[in-house]
Amino acid sequence: MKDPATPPGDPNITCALPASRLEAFTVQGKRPHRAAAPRTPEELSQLLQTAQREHWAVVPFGSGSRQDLGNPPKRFDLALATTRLDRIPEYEPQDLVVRVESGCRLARLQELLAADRLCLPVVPSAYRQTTLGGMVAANASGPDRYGHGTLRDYLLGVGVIQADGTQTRFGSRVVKNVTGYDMCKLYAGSFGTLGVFYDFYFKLKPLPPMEKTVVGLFRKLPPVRRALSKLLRSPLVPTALELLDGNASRRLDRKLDWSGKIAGYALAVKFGDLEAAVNWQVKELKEIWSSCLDGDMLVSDAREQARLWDGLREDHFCMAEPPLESVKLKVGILPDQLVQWIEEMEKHLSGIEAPFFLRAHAGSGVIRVYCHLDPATAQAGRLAGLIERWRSLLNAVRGSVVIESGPATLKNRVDAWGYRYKDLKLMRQIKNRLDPREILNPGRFVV
Amino acid sequence: MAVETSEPGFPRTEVRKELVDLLDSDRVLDTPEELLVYECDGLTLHSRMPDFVVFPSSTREVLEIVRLARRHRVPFLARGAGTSLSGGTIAAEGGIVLELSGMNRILQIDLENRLAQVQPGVVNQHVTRAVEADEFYYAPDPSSQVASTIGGNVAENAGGPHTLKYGVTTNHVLALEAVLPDGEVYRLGTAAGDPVGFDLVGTFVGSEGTLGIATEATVRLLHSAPAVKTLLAVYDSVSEATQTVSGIIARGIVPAALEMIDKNTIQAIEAGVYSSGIPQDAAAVLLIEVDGLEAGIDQQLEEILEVVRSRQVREVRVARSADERKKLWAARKNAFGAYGRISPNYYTMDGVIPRSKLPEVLGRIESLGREYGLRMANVFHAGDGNLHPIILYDIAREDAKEKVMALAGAILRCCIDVGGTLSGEHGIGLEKREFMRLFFSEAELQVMGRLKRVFNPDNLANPQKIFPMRRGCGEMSSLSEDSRDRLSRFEGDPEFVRF
Repeated sequence: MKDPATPPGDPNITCALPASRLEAFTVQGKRPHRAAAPRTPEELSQLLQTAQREHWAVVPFGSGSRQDLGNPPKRFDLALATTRLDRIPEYEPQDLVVRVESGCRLARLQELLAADRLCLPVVPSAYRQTTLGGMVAANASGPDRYGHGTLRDYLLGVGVIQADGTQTRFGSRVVKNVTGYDMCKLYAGSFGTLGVFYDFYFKLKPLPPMEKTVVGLFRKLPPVRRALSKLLRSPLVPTALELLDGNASRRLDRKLDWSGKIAGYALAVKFGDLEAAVNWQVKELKEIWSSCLDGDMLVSDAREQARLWDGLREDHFCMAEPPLESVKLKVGILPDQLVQWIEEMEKHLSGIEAPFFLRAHAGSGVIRVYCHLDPATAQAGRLAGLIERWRSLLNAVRGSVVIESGPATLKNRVDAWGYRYKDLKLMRQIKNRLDPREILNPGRFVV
Repeated sequence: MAVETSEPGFPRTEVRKELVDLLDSDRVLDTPEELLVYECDGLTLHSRMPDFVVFPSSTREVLEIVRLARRHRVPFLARGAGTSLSGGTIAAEGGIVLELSGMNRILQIDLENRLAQVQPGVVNQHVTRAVEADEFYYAPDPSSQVASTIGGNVAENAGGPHTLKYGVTTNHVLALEAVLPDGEVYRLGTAAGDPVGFDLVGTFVGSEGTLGIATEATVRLLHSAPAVKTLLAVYDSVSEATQTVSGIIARGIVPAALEMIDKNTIQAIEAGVYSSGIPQDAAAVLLIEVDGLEAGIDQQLEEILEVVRSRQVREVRVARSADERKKLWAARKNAFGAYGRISPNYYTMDGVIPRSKLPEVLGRIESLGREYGLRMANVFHAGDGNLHPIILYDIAREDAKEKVMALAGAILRCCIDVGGTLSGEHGIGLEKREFMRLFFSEAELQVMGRLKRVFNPDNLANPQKIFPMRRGCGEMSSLSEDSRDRLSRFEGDPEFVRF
């Protein structure tokens, strides 16, 4: 559809966006030659047929909040904006199921669900902007992943346009299904390299009647280790379990204007359940932690609690101001090696001589490293070396170090994924079979 | 129905010799008497004898057998306890069955990371048994859990009553080691943080042995819930029971289990020695369980009771002890054994519908049974909308099998028509492959076929499973208009190939 007020876009495609809008679709420095915003799966299908014929490289584009992930696109001919595919065509609160189009923003969906005391319990960073399409592509998750998992656990069905424009659907609106291969699992986390999503069925959960948060404070790492181990061996069922190093907790404290409430290593634990269950767990946690804590804090005020978790979810507090360049790494390790790794990483990172912050989804074996590089120095090179070193150390447990965002000076030196295990061969073949002309997000993902 | 038997398309004598060289003759079965046990699984409507049954004891041996099969183009498939209900472990084209029940070691229990690393022949319940002293357990609990193995559970993505709250097998498998048809061992997934790349574990789980053989699984362990409450509600009308189910789900309560038992099942149970004392004239029974921490458990129970009492319920029993709880569950667990008392044969089906459609669909299934002149029973996971209609029949009667299959088809169509699917936990196997076009378009089957060929290009790994063999046009007349549309879109598709 053409907007008469602005100059038209590429006349060769339907629903083209004007050339003036192309800048907004820049991905890691690369600008597309054209952009389109289809309103229906059929229009999307038509665009992909054209792309296939013309051999255009296509980048599906939601809010763009996760486009820093991975390597820069090898080629970029067409940005496929999902912004107009933003309906919620089916919502069955009594079934705890919703069908939502890929361009719908998560925040909008949650507002609708909250009216019925329901939610999709996966809330990643960029909450306000992120679209469900982008979330599924990245298999996104947030701090609540300890209790609620990642988006793959809620994806019941997916409508996907294949690379050749064929419209397909896998899964359905039922909550349990073994009809054919579990394609939803293959598509979740495939970073737009196997097809373009137009809608999803999600399983929903009731909102917890009550939430409370305890923040445990520690001066040193060994007691953190003991505290984590005690918690993980207990029957307590936290929904979120986040660890911050001293740098990160100081930054967060400042961001929240808490004037020093959080300092040192901090373990933030959230419980969401019936009131009696929440209160018992708060009491129990303080008891099992009593021997390892330097101090603790109960964040029970709802507003304060929301600010804390919003702050933890959005990593803005860890990002750098120009001219420094932010790097964000995601490290996958076994949960019981977490503390030891943090200790090692602190040593290794201090050799780079750039400010850094560490935080972790402590029960899930995921550490995030934020490092602020000075482009005028050799810091990027040193960090690249460190990434390679960590990757080889993690080989034995099939761990990983992924560059979630970072400047070209880093990504030019080291692959964003660094995946070298034997099954990479299978992944390449899958990509090759489902997108033989390599038009979907070429070069960006593992394969 | 016996799958067509023909001369094997491979050098039998040579293959036998190589197998014996590899495993010794006591681990290679090939006489008809020995093979008879392996001609079918829990789905007795299909059968086909394999050419060989072999007993590997290590990944290395599985690998050598697969390489041998590949060299001589022999079809192969793995088998654990053989409890599959969709024909998953039937050697549809003969060949080699790898019996993995001997690979039954628990390799590692790691409570710090809440995981267990096990061989595929480990019995489901043995995982829990190994960690229950530390108050941990393995959550997926298929009814077959005392016999079925983790390898089989992974292949079929097994469910069970408690998967309503805790999820099915795929939600509990972190990593796999698998021997793929290319004759290589792969590790898929990881227990260390988020896996990178395509989710091959999620893709492999539930692939029914068509992508390869899992030789090791790393599964998640959960801390057992300190408190459990179980109740049984007896109804005079099916619709009051199903309305209660909808009411509980709509209220946003997630019970640990929410099972329904119908009238014919109650009568079968109560006629036997394992009577649970349920009134024989009851129309339906709901078995509801909540679990969690001691704090709050009574409130959970109260909320459930509130919904239960808001409908017309004849009687509610809440278990006051572990013994009483066991007794309430006995009714559910003994159901399948009990059918033998009221019918010479029975066929257990599996289909899923949106849970809000329960009242409507149960009514339709009942009238379908009448239409086909067959008795039906139903015992199922109501909270998931996962139906298990049981068709009671006598194989000695003329046309019995044809009638059963026709009724089964009509029931599946009914599930699809309300937005459901063909299977919630038993898989497609041989049983439902010809129904796949009710749910998938030709294009969708093609996409899955392409995925299959990445792993299994020569179609030697568990051939004939999942994908339809026929075009299915003969079924057109009995389809709903919607399903007919889906089919006709691909009529005459020149790209039609074998999957």
